[in-house]
Amino acid sequence: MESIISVQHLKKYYKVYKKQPGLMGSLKALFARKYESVQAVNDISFEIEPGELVGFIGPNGAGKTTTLKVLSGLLYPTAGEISVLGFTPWDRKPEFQKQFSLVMGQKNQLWWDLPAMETFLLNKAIYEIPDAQYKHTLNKLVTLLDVKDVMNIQVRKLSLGQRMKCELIAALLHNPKVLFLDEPTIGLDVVMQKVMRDFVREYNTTFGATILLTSHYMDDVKELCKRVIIIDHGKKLFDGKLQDIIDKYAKNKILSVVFAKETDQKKLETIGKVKSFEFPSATILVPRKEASRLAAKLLEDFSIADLNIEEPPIEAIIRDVFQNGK
Amino acid sequence: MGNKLLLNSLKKYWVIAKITWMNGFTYITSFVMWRVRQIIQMIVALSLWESIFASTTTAFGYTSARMLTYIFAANIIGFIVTSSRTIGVSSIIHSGDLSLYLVKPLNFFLYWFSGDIADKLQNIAFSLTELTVLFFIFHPTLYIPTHIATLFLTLLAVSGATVMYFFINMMFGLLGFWTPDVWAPRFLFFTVIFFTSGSFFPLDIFPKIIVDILSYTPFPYMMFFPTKVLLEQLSSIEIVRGLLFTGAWATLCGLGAFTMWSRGIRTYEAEGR
Repeated sequence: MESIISVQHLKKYYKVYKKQPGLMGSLKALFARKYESVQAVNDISFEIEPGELVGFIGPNGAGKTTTLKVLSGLLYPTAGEISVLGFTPWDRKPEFQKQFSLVMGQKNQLWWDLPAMETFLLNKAIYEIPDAQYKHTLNKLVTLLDVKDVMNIQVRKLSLGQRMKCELIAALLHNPKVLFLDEPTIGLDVVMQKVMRDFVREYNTTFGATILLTSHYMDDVKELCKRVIIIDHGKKLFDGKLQDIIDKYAKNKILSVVFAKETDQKKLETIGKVKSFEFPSATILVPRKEASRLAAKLLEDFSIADLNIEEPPIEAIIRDVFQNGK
Repeated sequence: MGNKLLLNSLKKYWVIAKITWMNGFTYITSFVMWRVRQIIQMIVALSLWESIFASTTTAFGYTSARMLTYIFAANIIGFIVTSSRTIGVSSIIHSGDLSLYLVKPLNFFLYWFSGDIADKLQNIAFSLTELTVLFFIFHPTLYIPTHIATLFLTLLAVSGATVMYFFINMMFGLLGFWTPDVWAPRFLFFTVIFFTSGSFFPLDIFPKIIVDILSYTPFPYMMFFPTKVLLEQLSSIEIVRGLLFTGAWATLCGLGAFTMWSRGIRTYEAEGR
């Protein structure tokens, strides 16, 4: 299948002005400014096929948002070849713009002092959406997100969750084939996060849209994306199935033990690194390859009521990846 | 097909104008204050000239009636030309909200121009009552143009001035690509406009040399020139020359604004996520 998004050797460098602290620094900067080049994205390549839902993860400043901005045509890349829906994004051709949408969790397109409905009508005109299609899509989205009662209330009177739902509707009225979601669940409570996730999944399957999602919440990625791209310091660290991250990066397994009899922590440390111990429960970190052998040893040497061999949580693995730089 | 495209496009900017108008009503205090400012400016000019004419029948070659008519007409034209929403452009760029416009099939300039048109319509609609009240207080002689062509020429001059003023404002707004500090140059510009556009007095009361120099700048074409056209106080040659200068300045300012846009957009970093 031909890819719908193609990124080859994308580089984006920013020129950043460095100011010394304090008033003197400000005065000095009036006469001589020091600039530094920051490599926000440094040689990233990937391909995305139609209908894929891909998670784009990395710590703050990793280059995720910069990449999304280049893909949306907001930024000109320093180098690289990029194609989205067959277009060069920064040409900003209307035919391209009518086929994608960018939702930024921290930027609102809804008119603050007017009901969300007015923004919907404005977007209908901007995207030149035919009446029938507009009504059909709006009804569907309003039902999916359950916002019928709030559409005619001033946006500033809405809760963050209601507002985010309306933001999504405004962004999806023109049925975009490609959707870039930048932190769509930021600031939302757990219930609303779940609503958003369910909606994104539903939208992906119902409309067959290709979705590229960035999030700080691993739950978003875990629940939605089969494939993840991990970037840090502008470099791609991983691109593949979420499950494969564990196989590639997890060095340890966790032995979760419930003891039948009182035991000594010192003795326990001969098995592996004791992460927690509060009788009768303990968790022990052991090297991945030796997990079975050490579990057997544990059963032999101690009086055990229950034992589980577990994979470390994905958050912990990814945190290790970022901390170790690789 | 072509007609349908044009129609859709016009509809797009009409809806933008409408929503800008609606949004304007939510900031009613700002709007009322702007109207108050405009009216005070007009009352000050009218009162000033009325007190000057209290002791003399003519001043600077103008009779009292002719002067009041000029001030009245120049201010109405000023309401139309100078009402604008473009003051928001620089902060939109600086805050990174420009991203929301850039991802849409929108022409940024037409978007703001539609907003300006909405603003002008709102100002015209609301100034009608105020002008009626002022008319009964100051009794300026209503000058009815004798030629139908005058109305057409005035419309042309006002349209040219509107476009020129829009592009000048856009240039100030687009400075936001490079600096957040747009307020100071804008303030300086408005101070110059205050004295050189002809809202307080007709510029031809200045010595000829100054009038000549000013005629090469864009300022007289904002209010003074269209008013003189409306009051039929210019020769055909002066009208043609004025229209050509208005057109030339509008084109130059347009070129300036478009150049700034195409350069600025390359430096834009879409900050704030």
